[in-house]
Amino acid sequence: MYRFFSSIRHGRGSSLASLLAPKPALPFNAALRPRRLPQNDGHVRGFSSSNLDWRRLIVNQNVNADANAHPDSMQDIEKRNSEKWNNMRQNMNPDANAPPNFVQNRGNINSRSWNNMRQNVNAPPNFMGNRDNINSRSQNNMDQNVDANADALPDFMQDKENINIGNKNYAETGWNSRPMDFVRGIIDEDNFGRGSPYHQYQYEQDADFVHIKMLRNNTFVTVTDSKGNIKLSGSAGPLKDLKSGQKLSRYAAEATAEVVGRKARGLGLKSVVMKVNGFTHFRRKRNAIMSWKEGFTAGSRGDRNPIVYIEDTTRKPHNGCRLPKKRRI
Amino acid sequence: MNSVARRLSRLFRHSGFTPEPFNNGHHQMQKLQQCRGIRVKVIGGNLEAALGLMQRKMQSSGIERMIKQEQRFHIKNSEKRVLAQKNLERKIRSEDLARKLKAIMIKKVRGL
Repeated sequence: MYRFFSSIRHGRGSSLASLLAPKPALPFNAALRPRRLPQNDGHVRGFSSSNLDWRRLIVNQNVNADANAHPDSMQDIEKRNSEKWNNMRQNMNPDANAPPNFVQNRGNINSRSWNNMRQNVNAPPNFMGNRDNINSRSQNNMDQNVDANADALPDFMQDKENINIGNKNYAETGWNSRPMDFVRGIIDEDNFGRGSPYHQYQYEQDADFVHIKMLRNNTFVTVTDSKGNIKLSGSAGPLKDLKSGQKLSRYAAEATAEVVGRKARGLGLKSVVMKVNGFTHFRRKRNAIMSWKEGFTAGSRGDRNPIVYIEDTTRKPHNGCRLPKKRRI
Repeated sequence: MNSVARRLSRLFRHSGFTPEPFNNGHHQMQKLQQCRGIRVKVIGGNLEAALGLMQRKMQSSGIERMIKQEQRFHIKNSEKRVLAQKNLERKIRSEDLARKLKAIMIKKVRGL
């Protein structure tokens, strides 16, 4: 742990000293990020996979050392520079989005420490592993140089990588990338609350009408909309069960109202104004209204009463026209 | 002038007992003419309470009495005179009968 941190500090110092070569570093950052991420993933996911990676790296290092001693030293110098500039760039990124980058950096450090711990457990492979890491970094540097030469491709790749990294950052940190959703939710709730009185106003004003005209021996029931257009109508004549005479006149109103109410169930009426017109006792009018309601709500218990107003529009003239002559029996 | 006066009066009149027309907005006469009849609002879907209130309103307004005294055929003035006389005689006869019954009952009670 302490050795690892000390090495980081030294790296930063060297980076400050070598400020002359910052420009070519930009493409290096882009190239490095995607390559480091999969390595970290491999390490974090399983121990066995990490062991395999270390062995392969060891083999590579041996080959490189044996083949070319001088180029190795040159590569070492380049690696150090690249590392320093990488650190600098990472510092830059946090300035833009501080929390997620900081958390990511910590994650990386932890992963490295664990790797170091494993190396310590196995002394010889640990030492070799360190060298392998350095070599791998040099190789990455070489690849980065290639990307830098091709101007178009690295820009495109950088953009993609930035987008992906940003998403990952937010996912890892658990930040809510859409704070406006919360505000919209609150506004919607307010609108929902406000909408109800408006709905109620419409529900009362645009009510449909049910006109019940009760004569001595007949009854007419008509359902219209708020403007007076007829939707449905019925009368006592078509009813089959009723017979002529006193029975018809006594129960015509109730029967007709119930039949029309049952038919009106399919019209989707939400609010209804009952208009009763007839020079008869109130008992018959009450029975007619109740029958219509029962016919409308029959078959569905939970259905609510659609009647909003009850109106009696019976009129009688003050000494109006001459009445008909008495019938001579 | 009359239409203007009606509109002005309508502006200032906001009594709860006068049934005003629903806001259909398409019928010109409904705005100028006052609605007639008795209107009751069904509050909370309680139809029984609304019907009871309507019955009380109708009885107090006198429509029920008019229904009882319904006249379905035309009657000549001469017939009205004769009918009135007959009613009067019937009334006198019933009063006499009542007086006789009262005397008999008093006599019986005193006799005991």
